[in-house]
Amino acid sequence: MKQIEFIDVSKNLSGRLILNSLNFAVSRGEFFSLLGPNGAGKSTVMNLTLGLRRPDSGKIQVFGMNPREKKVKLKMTCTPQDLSFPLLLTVLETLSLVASHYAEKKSIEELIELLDLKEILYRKTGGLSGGEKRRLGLACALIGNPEILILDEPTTGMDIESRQRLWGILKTLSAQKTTILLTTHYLEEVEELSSRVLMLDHGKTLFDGSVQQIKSKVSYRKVILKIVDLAVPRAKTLEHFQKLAGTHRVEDRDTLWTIWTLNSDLWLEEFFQDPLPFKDLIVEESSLEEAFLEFQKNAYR
Amino acid sequence: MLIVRHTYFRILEMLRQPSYLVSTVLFPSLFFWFFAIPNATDPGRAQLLMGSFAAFGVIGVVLFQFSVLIANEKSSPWNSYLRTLPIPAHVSFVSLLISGIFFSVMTVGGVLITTHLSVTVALPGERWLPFFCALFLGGLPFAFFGFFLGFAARSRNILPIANLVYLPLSFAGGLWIPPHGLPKIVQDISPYLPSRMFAEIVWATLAASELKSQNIFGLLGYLILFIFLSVYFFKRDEGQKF
Repeated sequence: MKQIEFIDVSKNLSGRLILNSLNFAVSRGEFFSLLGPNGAGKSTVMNLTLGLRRPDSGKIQVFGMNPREKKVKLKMTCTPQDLSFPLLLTVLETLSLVASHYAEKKSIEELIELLDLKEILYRKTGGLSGGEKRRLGLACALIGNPEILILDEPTTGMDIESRQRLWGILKTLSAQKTTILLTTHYLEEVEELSSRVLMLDHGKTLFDGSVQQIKSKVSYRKVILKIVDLAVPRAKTLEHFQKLAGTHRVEDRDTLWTIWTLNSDLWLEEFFQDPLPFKDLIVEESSLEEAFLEFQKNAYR
Repeated sequence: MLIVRHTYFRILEMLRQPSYLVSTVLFPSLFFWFFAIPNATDPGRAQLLMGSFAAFGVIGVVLFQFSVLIANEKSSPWNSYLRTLPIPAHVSFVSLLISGIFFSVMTVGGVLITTHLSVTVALPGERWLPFFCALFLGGLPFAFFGFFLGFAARSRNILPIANLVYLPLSFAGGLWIPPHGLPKIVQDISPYLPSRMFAEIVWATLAASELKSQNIFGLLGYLILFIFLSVYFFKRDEGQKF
């Protein structure tokens, strides 16, 4: 069942085309990540989904209704933008205010436990650190027991422990069939959590599919090795690697070399015919981040 | 229930701002102390001065508080977040109005206590209700003046704008010193100002004299004008942002 649907949606802001006939749909229980460079239109998609802006053309439906409907707002929540809270209210007061909007809500005690808010409960929100504000923002988003959860960079500024804890919470919610729409700068987060990725660029879909599908579309593998004969000049080593059939790209950091290739077996076969002295050779799949960058480059070729 | 929650937290936030309490709630009492007490030579004059400074307090709360709050809130991300909650559009507006009434009552209460402690006022019991009604109804055009300024101005400009409107309007309306004590040119303009019309209505209720129709209809005209301007700038602002 489609829970969020964008049909030919276009949006101009300050005379600039931000979204250009965008189409996508998100089904119940999907963990859906939006990726793209700054200005790609991610925040506009979020704001349109939340009903904070209206499309110039096209149609947006959430649960088959206009996103501004009260029935939608009861089931779709988000974290406050820019993590701005009433500065003179305490964390508990802020949570209590947000909670009063929902009939079916999580208990505040449960959220305090889940997001480790006990220590900051009676502090004014104006004095919270970035990480503490993120936890409060997430509590505000979860308190309404949503069917759709919209998260805009939820882990920016969080320490590793808090981030891992949040990932655990999101995985649990996803397993319980909560639909999650996420934007993040951490691609490892997308790789760890998402069931589907929409890559946007200049307001258009660059790619729509799973993380595995992106990686398979850009199926470079990395051969990483350490050159031990330091007498060989860098330029000569570079030339040696570049001459090998199947070399797509070469990078070096001190004595550590990384070679991108579409077929690592063939590349290694050729390399071993006349090998440079090396040690610690490993072959790796590209990360999502590398695949993402490669995908963007290919899209413009 | 939602209106009660929003109003409660709005008032709580304001009560936690000492600068707001001093500048808006206590100023009229302090001004009464400095400007009115020396001129309150008999109970009749003291009564009119009490009315002037109570009206000054109401204008301060509704015009100043509403304009500054709206200008700041309309650009606040928290306000955008509130729009994602299942909340009827009128809740925020009504909670703002109720908080305005709450702080107006505090301000007027401060003026009344200062009056009681410092001068003799002999206002008959039956005149208090018309006096409070005049303050409440006469304050409405200034509330919408505040809405209009709040929707029209940017948050970084609103404080000087609100001060430039509120203080000269109070002075020229004869709220600090009686109209006959104003400079000649100000005396000529004064009868056309909403603050003077408001003051005339308040003074009439205190003195049990007849209300002049030009003050009632004049203030009503200002109310309609400010409602129109508030709605216009509200829609302009909504259209730009949402």
